[in-house]
Amino acid sequence: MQKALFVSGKRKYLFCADQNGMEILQPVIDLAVAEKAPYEIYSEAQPLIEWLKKQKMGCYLYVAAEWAKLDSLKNLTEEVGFSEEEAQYIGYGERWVKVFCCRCHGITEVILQEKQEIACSECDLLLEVSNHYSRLKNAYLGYVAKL
Amino acid sequence: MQQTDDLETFPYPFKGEVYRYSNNSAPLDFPSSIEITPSYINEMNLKRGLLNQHPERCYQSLSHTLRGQWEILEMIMGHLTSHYPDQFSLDKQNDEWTFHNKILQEKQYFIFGDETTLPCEPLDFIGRHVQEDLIFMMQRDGDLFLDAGQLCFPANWSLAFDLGMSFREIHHPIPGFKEEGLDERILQFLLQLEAGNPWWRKNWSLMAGNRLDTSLETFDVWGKGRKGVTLNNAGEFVHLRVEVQKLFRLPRSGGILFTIHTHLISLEKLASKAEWAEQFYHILCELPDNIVDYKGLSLFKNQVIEYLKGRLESRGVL
Ligand code: HEM
Ligand SMILES: [Zn+2]
Repeated sequence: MQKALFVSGKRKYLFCADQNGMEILQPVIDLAVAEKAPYEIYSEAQPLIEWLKKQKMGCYLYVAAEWAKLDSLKNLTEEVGFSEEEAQYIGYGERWVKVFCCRCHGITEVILQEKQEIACSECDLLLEVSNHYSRLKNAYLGYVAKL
Repeated sequence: MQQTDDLETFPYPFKGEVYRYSNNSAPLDFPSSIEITPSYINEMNLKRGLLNQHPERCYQSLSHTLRGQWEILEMIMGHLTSHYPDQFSLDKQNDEWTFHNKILQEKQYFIFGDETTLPCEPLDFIGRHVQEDLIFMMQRDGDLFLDAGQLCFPANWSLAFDLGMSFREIHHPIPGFKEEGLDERILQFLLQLEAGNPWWRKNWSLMAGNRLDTSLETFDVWGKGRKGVTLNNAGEFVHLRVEVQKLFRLPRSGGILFTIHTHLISLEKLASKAEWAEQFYHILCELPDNIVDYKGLSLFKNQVIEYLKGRLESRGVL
């Protein structure tokens, strides 16, 4: 399970999460409170995009959601203008990822686990899933698992 | 096929008795991005065969790289004709250029800047005339991106996978690189690289066999050689593989041309120089496990050490 990391000294903290996500964020919310920093928790009363747009510069954003929803949330917050340095994204639950086969370049989709070996869906080679990631391919590199 | 280098010209990579990752770049005194060696014809045949049979493995480019590719073609043709005038010539009539490779007896007429007048993209074309692998790093937003490359002799990495990656993303698999801040320091160094002041460095590994095309795509085949190294065959079978890497700023596109010339020498030949055998022996004995693992030496390092030890003992050095 991923954890949220508290980045101290920000002007204001923003928290956006579903119910399970709030549990993940609670420790950092506590730290923001302890620092007496201003903070705001998103509620579904208004569209997320409007809530994000009305925030001023210098805010730091935490987003926690199911992996399946995290990418589209990230696209939205980046569109509004939050950069990699101004936000943290924490996913939970099953995470489907693409694995790029080192031999045939075929893509295999799997639920990500620690230290995982899978068979390439195209050439059947046994692959060790690495954390070497290509944004262009949105895939992790699968290396030869057994020589 | 003869694919190994001579002792006299081999770019021996070691200094001292300890090897660690570092920014080991130095200014390049002889400002040429390429070098022609006696194995030129062999390697051109090998390269072209690989490019024809495995185009996606050996050549990748993003469409916005074409202008930069022309700049690279111009730079390399310039280096070929000024450093090897007997072997290469270039006739320029405004934009109408004729490139002559006298070694391979090939002539190509083309209009500079017009891709349709070349048989393939400019980077792919000029790469078919030099022994080097050619990587084009484009610079934007204070970062460098691998946006095009011709790569036939990779040291176990995949150009197809790395296409479009930033410098730090590319180097993610290297142990300790990020943790020690080396990736950031080297990136800052590269961002400051100036046109007209090229730099170079050497990288090394050991290869169980003498293939130049050690692509990640074929690792399941050639990697098996690592299991077959013995004290008896190590001298002939195992090769020290050295990449001479050069970095040139491209003034017009603002990118960087990274050229990689790969050299191989058998352990036996290497060990015929006693100082080299001794130094390499000490470096291997001391090499940290994470570097041993990353370089893929775990399966045969001990055999190599024993072999070098034997050679040194027989000379009374150890
Ligand atoms: C700018 C052009 C460069 C490119 C395109 C490049 C690319 C690469 C690639 C693809 C790898 C293999 C990574 C893998 O395992 O997937 C690598 C390894 C490495 N690179 Fe670079 N590199 C560049 C410049 C540099 C520079 C300037 C340095 C140091 C000053 C450097 C230091 C290293 C080191 C130490 C390794 C590990 C090699 C080994 O242990 O065998 N690179 N590089
Ligand atoms: Zn495959």
